[in-house]
Amino acid sequence: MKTLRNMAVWLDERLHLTALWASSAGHEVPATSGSWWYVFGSATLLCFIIQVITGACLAFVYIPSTSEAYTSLQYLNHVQFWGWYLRAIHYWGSNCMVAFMTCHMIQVFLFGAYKYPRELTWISGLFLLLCTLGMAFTGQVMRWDQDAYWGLSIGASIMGRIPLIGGQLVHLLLAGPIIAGETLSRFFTLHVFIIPGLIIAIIVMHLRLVLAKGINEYPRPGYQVHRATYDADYADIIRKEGVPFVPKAVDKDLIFSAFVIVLILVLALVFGPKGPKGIPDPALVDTNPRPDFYFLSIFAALALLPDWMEMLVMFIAPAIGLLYLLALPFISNTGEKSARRRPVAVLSVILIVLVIVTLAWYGETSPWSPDMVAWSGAAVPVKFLKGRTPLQMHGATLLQNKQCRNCHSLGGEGGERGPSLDAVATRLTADQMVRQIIQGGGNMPAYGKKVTPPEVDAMVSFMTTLRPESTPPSRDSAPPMNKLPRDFAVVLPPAEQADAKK
Amino acid sequence: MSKSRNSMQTRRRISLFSSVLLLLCVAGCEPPGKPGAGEVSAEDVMDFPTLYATNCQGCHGVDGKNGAARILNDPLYLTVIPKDQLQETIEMGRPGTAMPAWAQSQGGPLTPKQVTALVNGIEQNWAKPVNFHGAAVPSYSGEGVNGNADNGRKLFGRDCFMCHGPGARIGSVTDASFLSLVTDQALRTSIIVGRPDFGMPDYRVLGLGHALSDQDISDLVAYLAEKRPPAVTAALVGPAPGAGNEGNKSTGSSSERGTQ
Amino acid sequence: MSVTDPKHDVAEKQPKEESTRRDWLFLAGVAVNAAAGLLLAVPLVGFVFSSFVEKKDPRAWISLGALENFPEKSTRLATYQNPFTRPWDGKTANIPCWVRRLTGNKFQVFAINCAHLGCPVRWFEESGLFMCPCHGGVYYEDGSRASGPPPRGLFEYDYKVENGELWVKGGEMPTLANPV
Repeated sequence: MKTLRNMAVWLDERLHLTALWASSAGHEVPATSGSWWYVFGSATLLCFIIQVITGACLAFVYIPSTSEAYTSLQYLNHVQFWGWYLRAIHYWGSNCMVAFMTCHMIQVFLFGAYKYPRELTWISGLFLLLCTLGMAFTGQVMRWDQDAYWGLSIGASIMGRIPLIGGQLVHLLLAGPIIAGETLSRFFTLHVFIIPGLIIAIIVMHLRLVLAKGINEYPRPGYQVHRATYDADYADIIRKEGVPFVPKAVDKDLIFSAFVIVLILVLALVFGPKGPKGIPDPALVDTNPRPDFYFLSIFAALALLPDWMEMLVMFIAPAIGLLYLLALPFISNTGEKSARRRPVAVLSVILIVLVIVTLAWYGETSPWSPDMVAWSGAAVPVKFLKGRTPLQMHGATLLQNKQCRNCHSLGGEGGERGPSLDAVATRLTADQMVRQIIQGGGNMPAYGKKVTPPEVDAMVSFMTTLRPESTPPSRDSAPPMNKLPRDFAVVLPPAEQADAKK
Repeated sequence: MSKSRNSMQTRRRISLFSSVLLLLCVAGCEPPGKPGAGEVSAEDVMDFPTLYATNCQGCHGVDGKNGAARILNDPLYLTVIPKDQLQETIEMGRPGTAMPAWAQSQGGPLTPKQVTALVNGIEQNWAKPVNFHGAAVPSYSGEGVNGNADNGRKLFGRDCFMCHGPGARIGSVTDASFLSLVTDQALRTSIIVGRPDFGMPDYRVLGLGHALSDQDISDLVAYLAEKRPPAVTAALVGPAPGAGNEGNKSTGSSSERGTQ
Repeated sequence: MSVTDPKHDVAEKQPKEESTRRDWLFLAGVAVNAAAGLLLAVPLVGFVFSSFVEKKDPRAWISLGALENFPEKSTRLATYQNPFTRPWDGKTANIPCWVRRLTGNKFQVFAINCAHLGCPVRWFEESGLFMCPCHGGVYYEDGSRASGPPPRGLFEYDYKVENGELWVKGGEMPTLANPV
C-alpha cells in the first residue's frame, strides 16, 4: 500500500497531475451552471470524438479515388463485418453533431454568454460552426455517388458566380477545370486532415477560454453586466457558490452523453447509413440530386429566390450574417443576459429557426422540381376518363405526352411546379387555356412551336372537362364582342398578328 | 441525493435498452437499418412491372387498362397485333402521334433488352386465348384489302352513328381534330379491339351484333380517312408533324365545341 | 482561480542582463527563419493555388462520334471522355452533353449543366424542353431559357465537323465564370 502511494506521489511530482486536474476538470464553476441547459456543448464535443473514431475506422477501408470510392463504400455496406453500422454511426453522428451544435449556439445566445468577458469564446465557437459545416459538405462528397457529384457541381456553380476570381476559385475547388480524379482527393484531404486539425485546434482554444474566463453563470433577470464590475461579481459567485466541475457539476453532462451515444447507436441501427445512392457516372443523367439535410434550406432558398436576389443571398447575405455574428459580442457587450428580459433575442431565434426549418422542409419536398417520370409513370385518374369523347381521351394522352404532368398534377400525382389541373376548367375558359398553352406565361414555357392546332384542340377539349360536377365551368365576364369563329390571331404576339392580317 | 439515484436509474434503463438492442442484433434479427441490395441504375431494370410502371402506365393506364391511350391488357388486341409490330411500336414509336420512340437508338431511354422485356412481359401477363365465336380473325394492318369509303359511310351510319354521330352519347370520331391525331392503323385497331375497359365493343359485335369482316373494317377506315383534313393526311404519313397555319382555322372552330 | 489570477503560471524570472549579442542573435534567428519559411511557402502556396497561376486553356477538341449517330432535327445525349484526365478517374471521366442537329452540318451542342447551379438537365423530345431536376429550370430546344431560376440559356460548346465526325471543345466544367 505504501509503495503504491509512493509511486503515485512520484508520478504526480513528475507529471503535475494534481495541478492539471485542479486547473481543468476540477476547476470551480458556479453551481447554477450544473443545468440541463448546459449539456449541449459537451454533447457536441462527444459527437466530434465519435466522428473522429468512426471516421478513422472507415478510413481503414475507404479508398479516396474516383474509380474505387464507390466500390469501397459498397464493400463497407455489404461485405465488411459491421461496416454498414460504422458508416451509419458516422452518418448519424454527424447529424447529431450539427443538431447539438445548433442547440449549443442557441443556448449560448439566449443566455447572453457571449457578452463580456467571453467574446473570444463566442468567436472561436463561430469558427467551429463554420468548420463543422465544412465537414458536413466535404463528408457528403466522401459518399462518392450521384448526389456527391452533382452537389460538387452545385458548389462549383455557386463559386463560378463570384465576380473576377470566380473562374479560378472553381478550379481551386475542383482541383482542376472539371470534376475528376483529383477532386475527390482534395475533399478527402480537407475532410480527414485539414478541417479536423483546425477543429481540434479551435476546440483547444475554445476550452482554454472556458477555463480562463469561467463558464457563464445561469443568468438572473435584472442583473446587468458592466465591464468595470463583472469580473469581481463573477469571483464573488465562485467564492460563494463555486463547486468543482468534476464531480459536482458534471452529472447532467454525463447522463446526457450516455443518452447521446445510445441515441446515435439506435438511429444508426434503425435508419442505417445513407447511400451511396447511384453510381457516380455523370453520363447517367437520370438523377435527382439532393443535399444532406443541413444544406436543404440553402438548396430551397436558391430555388425560390428571384434571380436578381440570388447574388445577394448567395454571397452578400452570408457575409453580412457572419460579420454580424462575429461582431455580436462587441455590439451587445454588456447589459442584460437573461432571455426573460431580451424579447428581441428570443424572437429572432424563433424567426431564424422557423425560416430554416421551413426552407429545409421545402427543400425536402422540392415542389418546384419537375417530376421527371410523371408523364410516363403517373396514369390519368380513371374518373377523369370515364364518359369522355375520343377527342378528349386523345387530349388526355397528349397531356401526358407533352410532359404537362411533370409540372401539373392530376388526382394528386405529378409535379407541383404549376397548379394542379384537377379543376382547371373552373379557373380558365377554353380560350384562356389555348392562350396559356401557346404563349406560356407565369412560369410556364410557351408550347406554341411544339403543339399542332389539333393537339391544342384535343388537350383543351379534355381540360374543359376537368371540374367538379357541382361547379360551373369558368366563363368570360362579358360576352365576346363578335360572334366570329375564334381564331388564333388573338393569341399571337403583335408582330405575328400583323402578319396574319396580311 | 435522490436526484442522483434517479439519474442512475435512467442510465441503467438506457443501458438495458441498448443491450437488448445489441442482443437482438447478435441474435441474428436483421436490424432495419442494414442496407439491402444496392440501387439498380435505370438501364439495368429488367423487371416488367417496374418497367411498365415507369414508362408506360402514364398513358396506357395502371395494369394496362383504363388509360387514356390504347388498352394493352386485352387478349384480343394481343392476338391481333403481331409481336414484331408490338416491338417496333415500342422501339420506334408512332411518328405523328402521341406514341413516342422508346429505344435508345431513337433517343429514348430503353435498351434493346428492356424493350424485349416489355414485349415479353405484356405477352406473358396479358395475352390469353380468345374465343372468336366463329368470327374470322381480322388482319392487323389490313394490307391488301382496299377500303371503299362509300360503303364505309353506310356502315358508319349503321354501326357507329349511335355513339359517334354528331352530338351522340360518346362523341364524334369524324371531328377534324380527332382524325388529325390518329393514324389509319390506330382507327383500324380501335375498330377491331374496341375499348372494353370503357364499354366500347369490339369488331365481333359491332356489326349490329354480328362480326365486322376485314373488308368492313377497311371500308370504315377509308371513310374516316376521307374526312381527315388533306394537309394532315400528308403530315401523318410523312415524318414531320405540325400542319402550319392553314390548320389553325379548323381548330379555332372546333375548340368552340370544346367549351360547350 | 485561473479567472481571478490570469498571470498565474507566467514565470516572473526574466533575467535583465544587457546582452546585445544575444538580442542580435535572436533577431537574426527570427529573420533567417522568416526567410526560410518564405522559401518553403512559395512551392506550397504555388502547389495549392496552381489554378491562379496556370493560364493554359484546359479545353481540347474531342470527337463525339460519327455524324450518323445524330439524326437531323433531333436531340441526342452524347458522352465524351474528359480530356483533362487522370488514370484513376474511373467513370467520373464520362462527360455527357446534349447534341442537337438542326440540318446538315448545323449543330448545337449543349453542356449538361444547368446554367443556374450546374445540375444535369434532361431532354424531353415531346415537349421540346430541357428540364432541370434541382431547382426547376426549363430551357427550350434551342437552349434558350424557358422558365425557372436560370440566369441565361444552356451553355453551348464550340463544335466542328471533320472527317465525318462531330468534334466539341470540352474539358472544363461550364459555370457563369467559365462559360465553355
